Amino acid sequence: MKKWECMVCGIIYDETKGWPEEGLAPGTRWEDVPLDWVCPDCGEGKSDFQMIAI
Amino acid sequence: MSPIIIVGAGHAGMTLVRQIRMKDQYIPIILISQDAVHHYYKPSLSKALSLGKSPQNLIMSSMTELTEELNIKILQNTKVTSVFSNKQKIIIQKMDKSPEILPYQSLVFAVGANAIDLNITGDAQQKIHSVNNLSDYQHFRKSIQNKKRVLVIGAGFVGCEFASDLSLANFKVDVIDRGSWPLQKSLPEPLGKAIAQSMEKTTVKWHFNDQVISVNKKTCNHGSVLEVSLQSGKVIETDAILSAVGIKPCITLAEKSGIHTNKGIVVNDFSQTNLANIYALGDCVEYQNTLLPFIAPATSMAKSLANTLLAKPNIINIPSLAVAVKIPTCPTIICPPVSQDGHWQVSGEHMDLTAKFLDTQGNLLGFALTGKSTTLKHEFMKKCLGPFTDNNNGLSHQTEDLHEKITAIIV
Repeated sequence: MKKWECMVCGIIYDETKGWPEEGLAPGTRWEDVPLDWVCPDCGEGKSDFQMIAI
Repeated sequence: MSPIIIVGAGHAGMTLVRQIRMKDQYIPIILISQDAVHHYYKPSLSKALSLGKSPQNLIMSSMTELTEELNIKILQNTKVTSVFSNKQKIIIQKMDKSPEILPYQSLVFAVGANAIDLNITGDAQQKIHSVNNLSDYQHFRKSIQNKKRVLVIGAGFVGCEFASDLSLANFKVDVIDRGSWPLQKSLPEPLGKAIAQSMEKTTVKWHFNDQVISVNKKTCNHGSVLEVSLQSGKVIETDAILSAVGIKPCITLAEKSGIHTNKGIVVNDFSQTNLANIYALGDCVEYQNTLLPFIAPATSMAKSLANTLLAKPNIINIPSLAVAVKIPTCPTIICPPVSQDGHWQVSGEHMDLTAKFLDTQGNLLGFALTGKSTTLKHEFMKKCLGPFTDNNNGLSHQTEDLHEKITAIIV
């Protein structure tokens, strides 16, 4: 499981935790997050997230 | 080729640069800011304490890193003093240096908004902080160092978030607001009460239907404190004061440059002002008689404006915005209704409430959710009409049409 950080607002998506309130169940891998998903904080797209080391 | 000049290096200006660079690596860009330039995320300012971050820790990239990463020229601590739109030139002034003329192919105002100044009297009136950028925040953090009490003026989005953040960091917080409940402009009373009660359980004390009249310094045994007098006659002793009563678009330069302004810099569907080659986006903008002082609209405006600036005119498409208010004791999501013609309908119990803002036909124009109801966000977003629905009807079709027309004109 990996973590991804939004380059704009710094919010972190942790695959282990998912994002239940955003419709992403725990364990949802980044590659399975829909392409039209946007960052709940700043509205940036999926392409603006970068993988970060844990 | 003359560069694209962007004035303002906040979220709007910075996002625009990144969006242009995603599409064009080489077009020359100059980013001008009257402050120091670095990339940080402004909404983080009101949660930095509980995240355990110092102001310095909030910086995500330095000016040098930005210059390299984005292949742009950055002029920091530089003011734009005049715009000559007929000659496509601006005059800039860097601190003690002599003025300089810069030509542009497109000029973008991303100048943001200033904190509203209150008419408060007293000998310590200058001790009132407002936080609208990282350097303001640095000053504010200094003022609360080794202190225990903070008084917050205003219980809107920013006031509530700061009050929450300060209470999580164990400050005793007094919040003063003219309204009767927090976020009164954006949600109905039951939800406001739920938020107020959840925060009362921490270190927050509310003072509603009241306002600050004066702030004076008072010397006592353990140093000096601030004495805040309210209209009701109440007097509150505190150590630091934060004013969060709202922001006002910066329109002075635009106004004197012959650009249409009203509450903000008036733009059309392409983020363009009334003058050729001059655009605006973000907090300084007024679009369809509406100000949009939030992050998400600035982001979506930046995306379409990047295309427009690269000769692919693109209509701005502002989606319904659901703003999460960072109050951990009572999670809150608000989709502010743009129109005032409607009424609130509230359901739920305890802290878990939903409020729908409906027009006479029963259309959902906005909503607010608290507590566990915040999980309904996506469901509500789908049902909610966008803030500029009339404009968005059949948008894709319209966009194509306009593309053709405009391309024809440009060619």
